Parts: sequence; structure tokens; C-alpha cells
Amino acid sequence: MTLLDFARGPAMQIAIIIFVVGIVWRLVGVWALRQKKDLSEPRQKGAWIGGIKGLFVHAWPYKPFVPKVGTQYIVGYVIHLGLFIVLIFGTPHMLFFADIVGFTWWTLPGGVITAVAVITTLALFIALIKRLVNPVQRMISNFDDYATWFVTTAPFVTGLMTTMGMWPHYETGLAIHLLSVWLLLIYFPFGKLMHSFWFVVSRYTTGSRFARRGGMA
Amino acid sequence: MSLKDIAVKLDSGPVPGSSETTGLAVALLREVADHLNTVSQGGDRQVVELTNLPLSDGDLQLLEEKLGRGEVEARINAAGPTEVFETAYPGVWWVKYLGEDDRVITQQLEIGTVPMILEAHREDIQASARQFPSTFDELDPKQQ
Amino acid sequence: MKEHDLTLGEELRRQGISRRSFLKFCAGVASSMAIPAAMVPAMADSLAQARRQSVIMMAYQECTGCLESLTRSFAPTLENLIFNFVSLDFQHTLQAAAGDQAIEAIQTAMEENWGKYLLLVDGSIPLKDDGIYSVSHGQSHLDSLRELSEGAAAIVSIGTCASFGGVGAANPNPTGAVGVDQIITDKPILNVPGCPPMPEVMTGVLTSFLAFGALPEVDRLKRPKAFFADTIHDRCYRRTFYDQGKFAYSFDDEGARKGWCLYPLGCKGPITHNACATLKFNQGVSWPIQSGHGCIGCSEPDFWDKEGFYKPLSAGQWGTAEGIAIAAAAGVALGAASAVMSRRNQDKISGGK
Repeated sequence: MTLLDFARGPAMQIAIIIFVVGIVWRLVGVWALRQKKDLSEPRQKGAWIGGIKGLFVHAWPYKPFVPKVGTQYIVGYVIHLGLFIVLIFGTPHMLFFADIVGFTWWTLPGGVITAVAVITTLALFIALIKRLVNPVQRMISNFDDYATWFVTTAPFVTGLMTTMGMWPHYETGLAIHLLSVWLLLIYFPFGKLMHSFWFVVSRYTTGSRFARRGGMA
Repeated sequence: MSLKDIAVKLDSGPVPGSSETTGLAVALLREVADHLNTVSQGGDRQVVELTNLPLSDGDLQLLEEKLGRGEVEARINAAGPTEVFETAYPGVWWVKYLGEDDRVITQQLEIGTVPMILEAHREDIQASARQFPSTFDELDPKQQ
Repeated sequence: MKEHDLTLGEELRRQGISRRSFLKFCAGVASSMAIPAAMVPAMADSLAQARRQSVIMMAYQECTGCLESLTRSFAPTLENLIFNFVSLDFQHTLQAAAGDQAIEAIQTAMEENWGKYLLLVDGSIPLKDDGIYSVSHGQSHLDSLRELSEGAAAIVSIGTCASFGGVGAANPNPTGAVGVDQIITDKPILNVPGCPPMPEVMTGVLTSFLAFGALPEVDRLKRPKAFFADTIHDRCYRRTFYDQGKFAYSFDDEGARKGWCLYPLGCKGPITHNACATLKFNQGVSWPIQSGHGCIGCSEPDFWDKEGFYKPLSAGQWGTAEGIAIAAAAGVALGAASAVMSRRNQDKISGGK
């Protein structure tokens, strides 16, 4: 069995199994917790509207904070949008999902995907440098933050290296790229990457609780 | 449904037949200029292989245009046909090694006094020197 | 004078084949092997100085497709010359002799050229149960290969079967078939894989063996680099469509009709090393991708065991997807268990209120 066969077969199966176990475990574990009872009388009706608002209000910093954290938000958006575009509109990526869901969709030319991936990788490195240089950010960062950065950046770097033919053999490059993605999947449920599931839930919860107490009107 | 109902569409085949030039032709012309300098100063014969390169039809056209046709044209019959012509620049030869159906197997630009495929080679000349007397030996009455 | 004492140059001149033919032959081979054109005269010289090479070609667990390919090369006048350069002392499909006579031919060729003959092997060799699944003239092919390789100067494995085990070794490999280099380890071995292999590669390998006295430089799978260094994808005329994102998604859609990239239809071009994208098959007529079908990766080991020729390269090999359902169930169980524990903890903190 070649490295590529291993990456496309057993490694992928194991990674996805761990990913599914981990995600389901954490989702069920949290949702099955006893909900905190709020015995106070709601200050206004329709807390859920505040919840929905919360989703959007937190998508951009509170105005007075913009000069301080604006760049951070922009870098964050570049990373997340880049990730989304490359993952969904790169033809080989789409074909991976199409094999599972059974239908194909429109994709972008390889050159565009490469450009987006380069920009995203740069943004990821800017984010890391900011984290290392800013004393406060450095102080509140732990292993999880760096591990999350690593498993997110690795697929971009290996993918770009494979597209640009920087490995001695394309098939080895492709295998390493796949393995780096499986590493991301394995780490995903157990670290801060879980925010992709939690951010909607937590923003809604915060928004609706504030609304119940009279905020977020 | 009969066979006639199935539409037949002939694919014209590979697309390298694009008429665009890739810049390779210009690079090749520069290389030829270098080789011409070498040979004109008494250097050895130089060969530029054309078949290995991803030349477009446009590139080949440009090469043919720029090099032009000179005084010599020859067709050689050895292991199938081979076509040779001198370009408008003496000393620059275009050599096309062909298959039986005149399809190009490989083609080269040779820079030198005469392309190697055109020369009579020493070994072949030696063989004819040995065999040649037999052409008149049998005609000579004294020998009989 | 015995035939083997003459140089190829002398011998062929007697047949009226001039030095020009040597030159042309070498120009063709050099071009296909990316040997600098300036080396052609030297190559022709040393080829003319070489002696006729004794070649023994053995057919083991095979389908004769390789031989069909080798005898249909791209420029007959030129390629026929190679049969003047070698003395094909044994090839059971091509020779007139049969039975005991044929076996004698092998023995004679071996004895006369001990240590000097080139052994060409076509087909895989079964190892299971002492190789009993593939036998000729009462001798297992395993024993035959061991015996013949002993006196060989070098071995060339022709086709994917002889190189890597081929279709015989496909899952579940009932005969325990393997390629030559998994049995013979003490001889120079060169693999010319492909199903079928390209005749030009064979010509190139034989010529460089004759002209330079050695097998050409090889990659990690013992394939001559001159032909197997690039992937099909690198040399494909449809590569621009891949880069532009223009693909065929079925064999009869607009993309397929326009000759766009076949990656979504399972083309294995990006991971397949071979020369057919430039040399083509059937005297330069066409090759798989030009005919509208993706590359199936026939020159790579285990190419048939990659979950189908039509599965895109980037798609996973799932085997059975049962594992995922079990994983989801396990996740629910783990989640429920940890929730129960957390609730107990919550109760403890709140003191049962």
C-alpha cells in the first residue's frame, strides 16, 4: 500500500470516525446538561429576537473598539472566507464532497483557488504573528491556540505545495496534504476548532439572555 | 433505433494546434544565433531538438517564417525517408526524420556545414572502396 | 566468421543498411529519451561498434498484450532495425519451434551467452504453493525465472505484471503473484510497466543498453527516468483545461464533447508516470485521454485496486461506511454518559436544589 492509498483509505476512515465520535460526543454532552433556570420575570417579550440579533451584532466589533480590534476582525474574516472558498469551490475538494452527497456544483478555476489560498495562508501567518507580538494575546494563549493554528495552516501549506509541484512527487504531496486534513479532523472536536459549531449557539444564547433582561432591544 | 440515429462527431484531436506563440520560438531563435556564432568561429556542429519541446503550431510557423528557405533541399532514403533543407541562413539546416507515411518522427535544426544525415560516412565509404573494383573487374578481359 | 563476432555496423552494412540509418535510428531514440541531440553521432558510433545482443524473452502469467504492443511500434521502418540489433533467441509466441525443441533453444542460448544475455520477462510469477499455478514444460515459472536470471546480464520486466505483479496480483491475489524484482534481487532489473507498455520505451532501453553498455537511469520503482519522470497530467494536452477549471462531469456532457479535463471522471493522470501523453499508442494515432477516457494509471503498482477507475482522485476510498454510523452511535453514548456525570456534578454543587 502506498502512502497515498493509506491517506485516501484507512487514514481517512479513522479520521472521520474520530471526528464524528468527538463532535457527537461534545454536542450531546453539552445539550444534555441541565439548563439553568431563570426565575426572574422577563423584562421584555420575544427573547428569541434578541438571540437572532446576537448572531449579527457580534459579527462586527462595537464601534468604539473598531480602531483597536478592527484589523483582527478583518484578518479573521479573510481566514474564514478563504477557508470556505477553497474548501467548497476548489474542484478536487468539491469532488470529495460530491462523492459523499451525490451531486456536483460550480467551482472556481485552479488559479483563483491558488490565489485565495495564498491570501488565506498569509492571513493565518499575520494572525500568528499578532498573537506572538501582542503581550496580552500571548499571555492568554495556550497550547490549544497554537495547535489549532497549526492544524488549520498545515492543509493550506501542503495543498499549495502540492498544487505548485514543490514536492519531489505529486502523489506524495497529495498524500501529505490529505493526512494534514485528517489531522485537522482528528483535532477538531477536542480543541477550539469546535467554535465552528458553538459560535452560533453561544451567540444566540447570549443574545436571548440579554434580551430577556432588557438588553439587545 | 438504427445506427444512423446515433450522431457521430469527429474530434479534431489534441488542441496543441493553437496558433498562439508561446515565446519558446523566440528563445529557440536566440539559441540558433548563439550556435551560428560558435560554428562560424570554427566550432563543432550544433543540434537543436524540436520534437521534445512543447512547441505550438504557432511556434513552428513562426520558426519556419523567420528561418525561411535556402538553396538546398534533399530527400534521403535510409530507414524510411528523411527531409533536409537549408534555411535562408546558410549553415542552418532543418532536418525532418520521417516515418513511412511521411509523419514526422523527430525534427531538428542543425547548425554546421552539412547535416550529418546527408554526409557519406567513413565506414560506408570504406565499404564501397572495397566493393567498387568488382564493378569493372568482370568487364576486364585480361582478368578472365 | 560467426555472426556474433561482427559488430552491428559491419553486419548491417553487409545487408546494405548504411550508417545513415543508424543515425536516423539514434535520432529517433534520443528524441524519445530526451538525450541531447548533440550526442546522436556518438550514440550511433557506439551502437555500430556493439555486438548483436542475445535476448531471451520469457512469458509467464500474462495475456500476450505486451508482446502485441511491442510488435506494433510507432515507425515500423525505424523500429524494425532493433530486430537487427538483437538476436531474439527465445520467445515462445514468435518462434517456430515448439515443445522440446523450444526448450533446447533456451538451453543453447543460455549456454552460449552465459552471463551476457538480456532476459526479458512478461507476466507475473505466482509464489503461492511453490508457484504451481503457472507452469510450462513441467517447470514452474518461479523455478524458470530463478534458473534463467542466474546467467543474465540484466533483466527487463515488460509490462505491469512483470514489474509489479499486475492483474494477477489484484486483490485477492489467489496465486500469490508478484513482479520479478520481488524474487530476484542480485541482478540489475529495469521495469517497463504499462498495460500495455510503450514499444518506444522498449526500443529506448534496448538501444541504450547496446550503445552505452548499461541500463538507463531509473526512478524509485526501477522505471527508466527518460520515459517515466513526468506524470501524464504534466504532459497532458488537456492540462490547460484543468488549470482553467473546465471539466467533463459525465462522458456525454458539454465538457466531454469539448475535450475538457477528465479529472472528475476519475482520471489518474496526476499520479501516473508514463510517456503515452507525448509518444501515444498505435503509431502515434491516439492515447487514452485523446480518446476521451481518463488515465487509469496502468503503469503504477496496484492500479486496479484503487476503488474504481471512475472515482475522482480526490474522493476518499470508503470501503464500507458502516464505521461512520457506529461512530455516531458511540458519540451519542459517550455524550449521554458525560452529560449524566455532569448533571450529577451540577446537583452536587447546587446541593440537590
